[in-house]
Amino acid sequence: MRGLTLLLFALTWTATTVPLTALAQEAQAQSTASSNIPSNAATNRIISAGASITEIIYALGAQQQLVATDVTSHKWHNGTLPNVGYHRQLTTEGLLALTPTTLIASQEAGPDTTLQLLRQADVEVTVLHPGNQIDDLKMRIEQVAQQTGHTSQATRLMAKIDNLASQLQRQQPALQQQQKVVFILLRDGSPLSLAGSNTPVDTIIELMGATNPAAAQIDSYKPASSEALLTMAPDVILVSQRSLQQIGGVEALLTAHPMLAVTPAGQKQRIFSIEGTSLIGELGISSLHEAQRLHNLVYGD
Amino acid sequence: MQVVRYQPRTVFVPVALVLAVMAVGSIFIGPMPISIEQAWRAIFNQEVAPHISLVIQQVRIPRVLLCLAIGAILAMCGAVMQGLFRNPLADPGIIGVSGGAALGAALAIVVFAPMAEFYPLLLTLGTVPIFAFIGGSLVTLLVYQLGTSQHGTSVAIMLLAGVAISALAGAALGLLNFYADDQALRDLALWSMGSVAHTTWANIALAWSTLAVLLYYLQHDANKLNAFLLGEAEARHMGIGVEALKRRLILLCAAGVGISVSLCGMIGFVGLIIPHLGRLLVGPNHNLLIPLSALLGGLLLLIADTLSRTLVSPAELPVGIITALAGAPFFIALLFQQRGRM
Repeated sequence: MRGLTLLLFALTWTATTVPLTALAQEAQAQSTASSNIPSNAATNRIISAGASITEIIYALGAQQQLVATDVTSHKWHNGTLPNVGYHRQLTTEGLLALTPTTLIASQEAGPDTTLQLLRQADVEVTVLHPGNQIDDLKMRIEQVAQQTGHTSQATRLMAKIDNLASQLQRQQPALQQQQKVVFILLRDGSPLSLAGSNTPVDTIIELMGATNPAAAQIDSYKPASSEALLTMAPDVILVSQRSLQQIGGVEALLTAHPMLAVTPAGQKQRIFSIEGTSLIGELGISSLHEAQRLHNLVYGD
Repeated sequence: MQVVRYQPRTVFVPVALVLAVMAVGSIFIGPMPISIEQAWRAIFNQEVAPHISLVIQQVRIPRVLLCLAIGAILAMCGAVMQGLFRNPLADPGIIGVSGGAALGAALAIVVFAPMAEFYPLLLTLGTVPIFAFIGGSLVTLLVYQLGTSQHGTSVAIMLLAGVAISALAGAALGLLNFYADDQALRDLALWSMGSVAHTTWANIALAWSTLAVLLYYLQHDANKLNAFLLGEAEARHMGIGVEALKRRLILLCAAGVGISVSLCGMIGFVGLIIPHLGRLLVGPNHNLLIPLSALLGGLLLLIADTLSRTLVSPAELPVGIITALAGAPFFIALLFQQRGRM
């Protein structure tokens, strides 16, 4: 019995130290990782692991270099490209079977073992700059442009974004005239969640010239009580297009969630839908266009 | 229990042969088209394209090895649990290991993963496995304590306590689900379906040494487990240290399942159906049932993982879905066949 206890103890100890060894291995792999290989647009085979990354590749007109995307990028190619699944569960062999030269991913992509093995197989793993501000988006565009060799297209795209951004900036109403806008995430069987700071939709609200009262209190998407929502007294409520369609329109939404009807937004029926792709991942180009469209909707009358 | 149907040799030899063929075969199967000759060269470290040798040596071979060990551990623990609890529905989850491990993993994913931003050390690969292991051990210990009084451990009380504590862990899991953000929810869902994809050589070494320890000690107790089938009192009258036996077996199974859950997440059904299949082939004698379960468990998980790697390539289907998809109908058929005898 004592020998058994000892053995089990040893096994348990190994179980807890295994991750540390893995960590050490990873550190070693990273220190030996190959540096930037100059990209060659003609032979590039790129896998995009994120909707906002695929959006940039298409906006730069570099989609011929794409060989596969993740599950959220379906909209851009309608299933004509293979789907590598969820960007946090990438598979080594599945990806290598596509003989990619480059994987472009966000900071959240993983697991680390897969990324490490891909690097070992001479696949360049480019992790894009994170963040939901326009400057972050521009940084990401620059990174993708460098990978794809589409730098002139990037210059034009940047100019377009700068134009749009300064237009949005000019349209900003004075602070006391800004409307209070919240975004509500509807999920079957869970309470309503509000979008707080560090979400693309928070930036959209800011860009459209409104304030997001939830941003001061919460980070990312969190469930909110009806009382908290009533206290915020939003003038406008945004919901994603898909959930609004699923529930059957604004009327049905107000019947399903009666407390929304007593907010200023509900009373004036100022509940608007926002296009889904501008919400997934990080702030993208379509997010800016959505901000412009919503600005017109909210301040247009 | 039914009578012995086959001679051990007529069962073990074909099963071992099929297992060997499948193990080698699944090295040749995968989303990346690799010819048998190329794979052969990669296995024996001869000259071949570097990406091919990487896929064979660092993806396929490690996965085959991990599948064999984890499947064997889960199936053996299932066989022992069913013998110990004298209950055909017992699986390793019954003593709370899986429920506790799931709770531990959920804690790591929902509560500690967001904190990792501020404490980079927490972000290591290891948080989820360690928490799963600790959670599984603690809950098993609790269930064992609940079932133990001064008169010894009652397997019936343990069985009920296991159900109750698992329900409690499920409630806590639900609470964590409620507060989880979308990303954590997705991670949690994927973890609970199991995957053999996280293969480091350290993981494989751990799994195989666990298997070796379990095989040795469980096989050692096989005769006592056979006596246990007659009833606890009968086993005691035969001079078997019943309390020590129960403690030892529960400890072994908790460690085995705890380690496999922490390495691969929740892989259901292997521990439940494989022992039944084994009993159908060689009867209830644990001397034969335990090693046969190990072989069959490894075989089932190997087949399931090969499907998981190839069905939706380049993505991957969680292996737990496949074991349940294949296992549940098989189990129903087994029940159907046995209705008259149970």
